[in-house]
Amino acid sequence: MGAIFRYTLRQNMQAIWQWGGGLGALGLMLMLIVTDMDVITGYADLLDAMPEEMLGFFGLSSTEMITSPDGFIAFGFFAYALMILGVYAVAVGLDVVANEEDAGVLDVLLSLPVSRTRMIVQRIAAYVVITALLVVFSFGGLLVGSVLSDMEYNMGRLFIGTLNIIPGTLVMIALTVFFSVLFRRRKTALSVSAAIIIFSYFINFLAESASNAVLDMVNRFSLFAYYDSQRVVREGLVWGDVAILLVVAALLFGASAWLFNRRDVGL
Amino acid sequence: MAVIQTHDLTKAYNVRGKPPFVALQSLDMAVEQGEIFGYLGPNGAGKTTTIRLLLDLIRPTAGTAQVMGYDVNADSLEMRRLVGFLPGELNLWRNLTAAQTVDYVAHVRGGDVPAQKRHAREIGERLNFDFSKRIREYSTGNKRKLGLVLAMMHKPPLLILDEPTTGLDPLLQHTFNAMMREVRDEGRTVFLSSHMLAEVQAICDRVGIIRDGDMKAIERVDALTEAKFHWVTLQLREQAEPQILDGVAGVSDVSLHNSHTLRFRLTGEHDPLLRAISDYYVVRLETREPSLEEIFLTYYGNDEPESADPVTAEQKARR
Repeated sequence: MGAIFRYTLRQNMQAIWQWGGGLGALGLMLMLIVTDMDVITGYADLLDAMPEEMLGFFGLSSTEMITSPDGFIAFGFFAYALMILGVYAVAVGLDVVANEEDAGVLDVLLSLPVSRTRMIVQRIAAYVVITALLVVFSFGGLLVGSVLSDMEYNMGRLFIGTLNIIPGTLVMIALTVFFSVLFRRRKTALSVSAAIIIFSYFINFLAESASNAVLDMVNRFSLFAYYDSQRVVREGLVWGDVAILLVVAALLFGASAWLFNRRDVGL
Repeated sequence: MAVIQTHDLTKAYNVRGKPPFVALQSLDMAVEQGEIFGYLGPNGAGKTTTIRLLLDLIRPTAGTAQVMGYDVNADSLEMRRLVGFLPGELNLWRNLTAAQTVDYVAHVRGGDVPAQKRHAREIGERLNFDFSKRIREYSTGNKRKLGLVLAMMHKPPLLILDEPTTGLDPLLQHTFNAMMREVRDEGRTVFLSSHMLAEVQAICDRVGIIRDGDMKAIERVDALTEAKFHWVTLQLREQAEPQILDGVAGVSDVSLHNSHTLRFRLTGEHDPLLRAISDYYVVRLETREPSLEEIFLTYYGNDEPESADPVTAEQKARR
């Protein structure tokens, strides 16, 4: 890989420790506060008392799933991890093109003998590696938690659950890259990407909460519909969902590169 | 072979609710190898637009441009290998040191990285530049120095410099002029935009004058300053009346300096003037070549030459 890939990787090593560490700490904290099964069943009872629609808000169709240690982590950690990484994804997506274009730095970089496609591909490749590393690094928190906890966890399943965060995060990064290339303005790209991610989350929540043909149809366009962390922890990776998310991410990255190649750079 | 060759190069921006804003109109220009070409124009004239088109940062609405024999769009990569560029508004990676920036640029550019870094150090020494600080800690002048280092460190055959001496102190401007002459003496080419007329007059071989996206003239600097018109001071023994020059071919802008002296502008041959004053006793007749600034103003009417706060045509279009 080229100089831009290496530079991007070097400049963002901190993100691995910060985001991965933060996410890992959340997992570790959850494992430490859950000292025995009574805590989990108590929590499940509390959720059971809620209207069925509210369970959807927590990403649950029933409370049965969370009555196991792994299910509880799937509910308390993985269900929110993707939303938390949405913030990271938007920040990173802006870094691929928008930040430097907005600051005028891209003029210097693109006056060098590097094609726009090469630039964007190297940056995206670097952020794919960084995202994978930080997600895997966050698993360290769960690993430490499992050692310190008295509960029995299926760490293989939890590792797969951790890996399952990557495709959805890549879609959010790709979405932000695409909008930053399309709109050319950092703030517009930021607003639109954030709005779509939040909208996508709530569509999924509503569709999970209420059975409605229109919502079910719209939910197909929500990336969260293809991120079923509880099922992954229970049954392993859902390859169909993973494939859909990776294809969408690849299409968005490709469209971004294509568009970036055809438009003016800078103000 | 022309190092830069444009034909009918046009750039228009779509402005919502308004007709397209034409930032550059049918530019035909040829810059030859081994010359320093000055590109003059007021704010928003289209200078930066031209430079950005030449570097393939923006795409033309019509026309073509070739740099070093390469089409700037189709053969962009090959072209950019041979160019060193300093933007008018230089922005760099704020968290890197100058040394890290040089290293990064050298690696992205490729080729002989150690040689580029060695040459960067040499240029830095001449410009009295300290590479150890982070970009955000440098003054505007020091950033310009680094910009020059980055543009020149690979010894490109063509330098494209947008307002290169903005922020440099007079001593460093002198060094810069010397460096540009050295580049020319090595057979390399410099294309620079500038609002500093004295600078253009001092180092450029030819100058292109652009306004409202339209190239008004391309001339050799010496031809531009000597041939177009002269300022004439005419002192007569008798009372001077401006009317005595009425209808004289080439005479304009006549003013009465004092009761015996007239000042005016004379374009073209002197003979009609000499015939018109042949009946008078001429005490003194002086002619003075106009400064480049005066020539500049003849192209722009009463507009001020460009200030140090450049507004790009793109920004103008967005307004």
